[in-house]
Amino acid sequence: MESETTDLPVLDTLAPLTKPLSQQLAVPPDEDLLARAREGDRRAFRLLVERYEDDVAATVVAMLGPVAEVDDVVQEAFIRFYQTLDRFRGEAAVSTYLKRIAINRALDALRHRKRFLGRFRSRDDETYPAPEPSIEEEGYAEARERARLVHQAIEALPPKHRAVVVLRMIEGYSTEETAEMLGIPYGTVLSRLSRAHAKLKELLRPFIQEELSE
Amino acid sequence: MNTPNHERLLRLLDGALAPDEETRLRDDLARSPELRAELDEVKALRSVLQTTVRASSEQALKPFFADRLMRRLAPATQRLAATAPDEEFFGSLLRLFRPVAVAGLLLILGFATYNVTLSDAYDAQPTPTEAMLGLRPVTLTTAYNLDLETIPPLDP
Repeated sequence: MESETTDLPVLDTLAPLTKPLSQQLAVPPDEDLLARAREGDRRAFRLLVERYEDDVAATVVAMLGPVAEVDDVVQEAFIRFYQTLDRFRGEAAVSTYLKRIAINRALDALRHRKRFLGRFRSRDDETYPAPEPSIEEEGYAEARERARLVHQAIEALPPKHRAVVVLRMIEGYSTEETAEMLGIPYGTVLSRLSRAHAKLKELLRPFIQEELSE
Repeated sequence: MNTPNHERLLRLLDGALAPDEETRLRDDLARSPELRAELDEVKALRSVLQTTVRASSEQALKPFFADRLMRRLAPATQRLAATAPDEEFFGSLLRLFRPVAVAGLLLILGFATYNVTLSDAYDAQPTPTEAMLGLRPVTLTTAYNLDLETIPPLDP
């Protein structure tokens, strides 16, 4: 996966006046920001955060569902990234590296959640709370219900299968990249994906039919 | 669904098949309605998952995410920031400005208190603003009893 850049230009207000405006407005590449962040430049690290926070959030939402915990897990992922800046030598794109960290943090959160829920609730209760009746527009309510069911279907997968689905089917990484990111053999990705795919197909049959009829 | 087919279909959707593999798969698809249906399902499932996750993640982070994260990282980054000259410069400016601001504020408060205390000596009650700024209250009596003799004459 190629690294993405933000659309907004970054104006370096401390740049010398002799520096051409085009250079001041240029979006610095990840490599420059990484080098500056390693030297302790907080603004450079912040730019990296702003550049990738939405991507990382999407990965974590896919793993955990749209819950308040997502914010914490994304923060943990960036903190881990910061702690390992010196070890990251650009062998993968920043987004790939960050998503690998995010998946691991999300798996940790799921383990924690399982232990926590195990203490207080039975497995039958592990579902999203029923939506409260509201006076929202019908279309919006339908979309919300659809999102709830899709996330519930993803949550029905074992965490390791879920990680494969997120990287391979949602994020669009290849099977080889998925295997490398998760540190598992290629064949394991294929078998987990196959089983997860079969289960999702069964659970999301109405939405698949709807999509096919469009 | 057998695994090789599933993987081949995903690779086809990714545009990641080698040309000869793609030709073979397209031949298989042309021959097999089941395989075509499978391809459509894989495509639809991926679309459902991607659309839902994208929509759900739009407001997943609470406001000011980067600010909050940088605050959390502050102790770690401050150690490294010591080597960043511009951060150092603004830090020292801030450190210098803070005591000056506090001293200025205390001075202003001192003057205001002094003026308010003195305002009791006037024959009329000044407004709070006049009292704080040390202005003499202007009453009708003082306005009409203007003592012109105290004004020095203009030079010829």
